Amino acid sequence: MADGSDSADAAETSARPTRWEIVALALLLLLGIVGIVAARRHAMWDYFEPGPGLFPLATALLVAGSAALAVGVAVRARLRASGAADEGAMPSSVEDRSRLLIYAGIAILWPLAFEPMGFLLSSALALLAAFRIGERMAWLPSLLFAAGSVLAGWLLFERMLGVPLPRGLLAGIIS
Amino acid sequence: MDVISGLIQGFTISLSGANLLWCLLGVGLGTAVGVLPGLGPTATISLLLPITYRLDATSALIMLSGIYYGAMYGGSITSILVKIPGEASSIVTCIDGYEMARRGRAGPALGIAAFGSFIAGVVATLGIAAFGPPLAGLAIAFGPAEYTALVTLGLVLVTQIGEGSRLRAFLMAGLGLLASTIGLDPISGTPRFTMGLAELQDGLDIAVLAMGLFGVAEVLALAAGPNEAARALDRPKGLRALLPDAADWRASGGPIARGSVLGFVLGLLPGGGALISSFASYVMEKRLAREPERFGKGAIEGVAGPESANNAAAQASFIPLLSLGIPSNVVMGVIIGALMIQGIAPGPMLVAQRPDLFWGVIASMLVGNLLLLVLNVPLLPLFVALLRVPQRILAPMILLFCVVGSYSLQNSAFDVLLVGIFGILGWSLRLVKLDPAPFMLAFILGELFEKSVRQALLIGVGSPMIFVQKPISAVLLASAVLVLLWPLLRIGLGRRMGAGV
Repeated sequence: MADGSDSADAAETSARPTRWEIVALALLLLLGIVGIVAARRHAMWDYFEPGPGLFPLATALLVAGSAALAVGVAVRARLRASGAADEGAMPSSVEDRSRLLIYAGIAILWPLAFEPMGFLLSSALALLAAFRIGERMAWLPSLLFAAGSVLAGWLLFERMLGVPLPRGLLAGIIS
Repeated sequence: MDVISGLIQGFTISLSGANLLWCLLGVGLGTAVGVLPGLGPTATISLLLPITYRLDATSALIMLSGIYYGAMYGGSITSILVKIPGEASSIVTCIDGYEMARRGRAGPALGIAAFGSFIAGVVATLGIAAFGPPLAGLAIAFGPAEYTALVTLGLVLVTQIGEGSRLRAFLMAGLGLLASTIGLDPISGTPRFTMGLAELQDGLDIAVLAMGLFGVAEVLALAAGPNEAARALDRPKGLRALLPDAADWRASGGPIARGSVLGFVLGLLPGGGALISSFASYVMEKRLAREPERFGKGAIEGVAGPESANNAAAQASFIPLLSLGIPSNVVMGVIIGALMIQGIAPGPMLVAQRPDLFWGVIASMLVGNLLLLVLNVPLLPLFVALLRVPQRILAPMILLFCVVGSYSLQNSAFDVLLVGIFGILGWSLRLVKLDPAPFMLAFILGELFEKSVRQALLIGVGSPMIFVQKPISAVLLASAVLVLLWPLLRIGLGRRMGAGV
């Protein structure tokens, strides 16, 4: 299968760390430092026993320490291989940016609409967006697949497994 | 009563019509809940507890245990096909199982998982029958210091799983441990890293993280790649073409045998036995392999070993339950509840007082494992056919399952939002070559690790020497150091041997 992971595999073989890798490692270093600061607000030792701040501090130190080392190693490797061509603004494994953005948007907006709109409406809209805009399918198959999937999901989880899925705007219509 | 006569009595009970049906229902339900993300064996067993009121204790326990080990196998199906681990112990199966599926070898991956689980189940059941009650004492020998050392070894093993840099694996494991501290402090109840959100007070849910970091991240990876109509897989000619061939069996025999023994031993320990056994088996097979570079790229040993180990561990975890009354995980805790409702207190006297229950359940595990095989092997073509579903339909479907599955955990839209956020995070991590597997596994071990460290320090009056003064703890810590330093030791040994030549 030639999906995004294949390109990721190809990228794996490249020894030169990308700018994105260094940025990500630096962000994790920052996260570790924030963790250390936040952990220090809690007691390290309470009434002769380890307090709630001890373990978070130890793990935040581990994150910050290993992230700092990883940043150092990545920067050094990048400087050593400075002759190689630089990658583009986005990593090379992203071949279809618009489809990716559609799916990322759905992953965030669907949960936000899940309770106010209800399972049926929010899921139908999210899946319709995925099929029609993300996958560029024609309207009719998009509508059929979205409706069929939502109905199957509702029957399986609500009717068979008894999960009380939110009714939202359809609360007065569905019993 | 000796083992043989005990097993004969057990088979008489477990093969009786009604018990056979309860066992079939249990393993069938278990496989289904293992496949469905979100709804795990704990929730299913809790939901089905009222049904067991009407059953006798043996039938109830046969069905509930069937759900548990059925879920262990079911969890591997989605791990292999769509990279969503149905259970925590299937996370390791995602690595090579999914890669095998991508290379058109989903059938052998699923087949070896089924056969490996069956063989491990048989080994574990015979192990329980032969050594169960005497070995149960091992669980008592483990105190907080020993658990800390065991989890430390587990965490070191976690960093050896991936293909990438060890340093980055350490970073991700540290991040997983840090994430495990989100929520109320388990001892004092102080909120930590909750950002004032009530929804975070219970901490992050394992299933939410797994669905986000693996399921939604995979959807985003599919979306980022070229759009393709369907996976170009050859249509297999019958069931036989989907089963592992002779070469697969040759490669998997050792991993299944070692995984079964490792899983059985680690399953005896309360805590993360099944999980640790799965990645301990993976690391062991990778270390023993002639071509370790094949791991992570679809090596069948990376499926056979961990799947055997987690199934053996799932069954071995019944020993501390039945022999000592100690639940080794949450599922066992719920099963103890079911036994107590029946007026039975599991403990050292159970084997003597209720041999019908003890041997009936042990024998039913053999029967249940056979039923799992009979149920699942004929379904292999159906499972593999799922991979023929065009990616443009499969990706939204995975998203739907992740959304509804995460909502079903606590009926909370916040969990669904977290799945989305962790999905984007998981995809981003992959892009920058940071493996989410060590994060996930360390997160799962984090709570046990913190509790054990703090309890051990409390017992040791604040002195960390307690970790090296206890023999089991010292041996486990020494093993962790050895695993950690092994690459350096190997280089040193290589140089010395080179100099000697």
